[in-house]
Amino acid sequence: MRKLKIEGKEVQVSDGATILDAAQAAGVYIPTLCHDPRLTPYGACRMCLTDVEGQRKLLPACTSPAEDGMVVRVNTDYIKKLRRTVLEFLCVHHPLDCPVCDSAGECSLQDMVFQNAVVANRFKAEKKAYPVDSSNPLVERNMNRCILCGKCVRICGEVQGVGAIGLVWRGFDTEIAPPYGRSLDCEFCGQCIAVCPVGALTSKLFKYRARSWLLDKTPSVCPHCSTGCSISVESMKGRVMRISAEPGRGINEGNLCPKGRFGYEFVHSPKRLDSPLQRGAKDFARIEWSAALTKAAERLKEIRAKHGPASIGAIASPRITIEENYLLQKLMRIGLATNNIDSIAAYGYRALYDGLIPMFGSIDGLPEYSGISAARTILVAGSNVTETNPVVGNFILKAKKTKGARVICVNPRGSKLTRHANAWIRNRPGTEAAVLAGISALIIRDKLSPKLDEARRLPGFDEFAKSVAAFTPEKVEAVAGVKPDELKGLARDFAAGSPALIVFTLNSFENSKGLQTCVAAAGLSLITGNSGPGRIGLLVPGETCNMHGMLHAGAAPDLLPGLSRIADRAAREAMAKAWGAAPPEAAGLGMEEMISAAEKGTLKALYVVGENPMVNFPDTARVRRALEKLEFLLVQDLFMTETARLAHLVLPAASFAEKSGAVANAEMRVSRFVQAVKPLNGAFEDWKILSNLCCVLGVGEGYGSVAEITGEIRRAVPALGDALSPAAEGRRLGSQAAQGTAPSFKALSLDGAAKRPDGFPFSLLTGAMLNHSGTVTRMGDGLMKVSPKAVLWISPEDAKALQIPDASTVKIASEKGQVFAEAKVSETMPKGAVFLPVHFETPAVNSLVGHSPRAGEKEVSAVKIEKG
Amino acid sequence: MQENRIDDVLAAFRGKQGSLIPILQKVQERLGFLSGESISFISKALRISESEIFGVASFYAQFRFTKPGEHCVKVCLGTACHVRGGALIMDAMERELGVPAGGTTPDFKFTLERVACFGSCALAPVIVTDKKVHGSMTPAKAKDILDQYRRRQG
Repeated sequence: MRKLKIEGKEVQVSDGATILDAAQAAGVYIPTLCHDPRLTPYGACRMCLTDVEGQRKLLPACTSPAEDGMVVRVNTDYIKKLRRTVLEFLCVHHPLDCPVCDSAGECSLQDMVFQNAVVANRFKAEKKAYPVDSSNPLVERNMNRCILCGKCVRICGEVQGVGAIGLVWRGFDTEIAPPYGRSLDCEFCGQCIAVCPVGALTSKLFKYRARSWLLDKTPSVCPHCSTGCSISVESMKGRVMRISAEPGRGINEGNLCPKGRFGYEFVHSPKRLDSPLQRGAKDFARIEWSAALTKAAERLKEIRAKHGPASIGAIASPRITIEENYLLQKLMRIGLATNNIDSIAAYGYRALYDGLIPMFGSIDGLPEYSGISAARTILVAGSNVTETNPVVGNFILKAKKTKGARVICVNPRGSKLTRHANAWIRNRPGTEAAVLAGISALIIRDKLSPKLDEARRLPGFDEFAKSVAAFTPEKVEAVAGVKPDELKGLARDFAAGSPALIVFTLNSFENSKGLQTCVAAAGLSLITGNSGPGRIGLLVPGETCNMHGMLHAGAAPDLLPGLSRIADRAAREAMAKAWGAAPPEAAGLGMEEMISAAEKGTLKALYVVGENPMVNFPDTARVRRALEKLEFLLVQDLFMTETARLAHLVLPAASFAEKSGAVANAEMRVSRFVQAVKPLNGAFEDWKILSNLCCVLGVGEGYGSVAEITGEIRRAVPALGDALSPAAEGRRLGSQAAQGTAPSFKALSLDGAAKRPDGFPFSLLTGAMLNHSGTVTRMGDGLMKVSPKAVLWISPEDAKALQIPDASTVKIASEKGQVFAEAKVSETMPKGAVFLPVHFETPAVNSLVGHSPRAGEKEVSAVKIEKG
Repeated sequence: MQENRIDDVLAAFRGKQGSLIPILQKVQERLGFLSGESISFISKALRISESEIFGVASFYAQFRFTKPGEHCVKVCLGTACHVRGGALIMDAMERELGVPAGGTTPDFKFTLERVACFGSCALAPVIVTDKKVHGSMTPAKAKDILDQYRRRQG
């Protein structure tokens, strides 16, 4: 601890703190222009100069360590005079175009000039006259306003790990620019805009939209991936104008990714649905809400009466709130007496629950993000976390940079993370489970982990050891193409580098990992003592904001709210007490079963809330056949999605900014959407629609507010409900499942030998893109300019062999179908594999992908590539 | 591929910290300038972003980023040459070559540069073509020198 005096105030700070930190602790304001707590101190702006007794020169507070006994003054007349001079120098070049500058009102320079009353300037010089650069989709660069604080350069390099811009040239000519005068070509996360203290970097989407001081800021949570970043929805006159993040609030430390910062335009898209639509003979016709609700209820009742409750199903959504998912499952279970409710989780995230619950006793206790900074080793398996969950990616980069964590990537595809990783093992697509099994086998065989003896005592160890023993280094080389030496190094590093964290995604969009990856990862974590009571060394961020919340709310065929099994009699009775009626006893149909049943004609009605199976689910042709065969398809969404076009009745819903409710992120931490603007005229919040449908179907008397739903959940399922109360902000979800069960192993069931149909030599990897979130971000112009379409990523070797030039059209065919896409030749792709992102209707990636025969299992699709 | 032309340069420095500037110097020696392609290649090898490399390189006057012409014409605008009409020579050269100071003619024959003193002040104003110093220049004489170079190649 260091004890010092600032402006007469005694203050204690920890070792390594700067004078600036000490001043902040003492509540003394020191102006800064180039400082940001996320960045290495820089000392460029000279605004924070302080007078330290006994020092000949003034010291910059941001770079000078606080020492014992220092007596620091920050507001002497001399310092004030110096500050004014610094500001005068800055204003020599800085244009005073504040009336037309988007940053006016939130500009540090403007504020400081005002605070220090710099009314005249003793200096005159040439003003800079750079042309304003609007050549990229999102960031306007006006270098005339730049004060060269370097914050944008540093956040881009240090926090984002991108380094798209630099300080170039020298002296008067110095500017911040991409190399070679190129146009900005980067991730478009907009972090540079957020840190710019002036208006040199501004958002093109916000340009001339609103004066910053007129914006209402509503604290909310990002609706896209499951990272759970805190955001402020900034709105004016009922419109969302921009999204921002504050460094001091939430888990994201002020960081946002492209989806989070720019993916808000869909809220006010002209394509939003503003009236219920009924399919007529030719086209859809607008109908009144009351008629629509009556119609929906009537059709559902008719079908139930005629074909029984099992003929009706629902698809829930990880994008709507916990309360809304709760209402949907209640509506199905009580109103329609069926457990037929499932979601996109069936194609991905559910594998985590199915893998971990048997091994760890419950899903509780997935690590908090603090587990990333605590880890000495971070193994990222087959996942481009920096794209799917970019801010989690930032945490990993930060752990490496500030804590010296060893980052190891096992991934066929190169990414930002593989570029920064200490080691990159390039396995064949879809073989992550085999590599993890190989690591476990080596650790067990060579007794590499000191925790092995402890693990041996856990139930099921022998079965697990036996199931991975087959994955010898030679076998892993044959299956995954990983050299035995690489694998041995990996096993040694992982075993020696505790605490070690395994990070991977289980997105429905990805076809390379499933239940076995989960079992293999959990097993590896257990034998190295990284998982066990009170710790789970796996971090598995989901693809959408409320994946955990949706499952905890009971939106699954075999789970009740609070993750109780439907087969659990006591749980059913508890629900019956709360609901006044018991949920059906037998588990309902899962996603795959519902689609099969619809295809066969035994499922007659489907209620789809906030999901777009026609793009997001595998085997598009089969999904279409199934949906077209339904007697009644009810779709509730913001847009006329590919799925809604097949519906008999479409109900327009409200977006995250227009409603309130709880969601749970990848840590299972609860945060809330807070209504920032009123729903679009004609659309309603999902919970209101569900509440009304409940009424019409005779389930309760409706709900007047989200709080009423929360209240009911608290009474019915305290473990879930308690985490939802606004007072418990930031709590993690608890489950009703047994707590503190001793972990046990589960045997891996993996043969390793992937069978590939003849004539399809390429492995098709599918997944999400950095700039898109599901199908909803397609509705915003900004991100669509950055990533307007899905392109086929192919390695330079393969492109050359097939004579496919960059940006030419290619045909991609699998056993299921064929699509056309533009080729992108990229060194990030390994030979023999191609990557095609989802999100788009064309190319319809999921029309190439088959549905998995076994739940939780996925196979990498085999395709052939031809010139288009 | 330029990569092939500089990978031995990179190989020589593999594993050494602080070798960015020597690498840039060697690459410029090899290629005559630092191309975007070469910086992208260096970026991958050293795992330093292209913009950081460009930031370092553009700080130093010794690096150039465009392909130089076959011949380099330097016009001195140091004190002595300046008072004896160096600016007139520069004007004439700019007009004659059709490129501003620092530019290269579209046929990559000449690169025009301004310098500040060669230490040949007694001969002011001077121009230097490649390594040859020409003293007591007038716009007409300077033009003749260019013509000689043009004729030499036919």
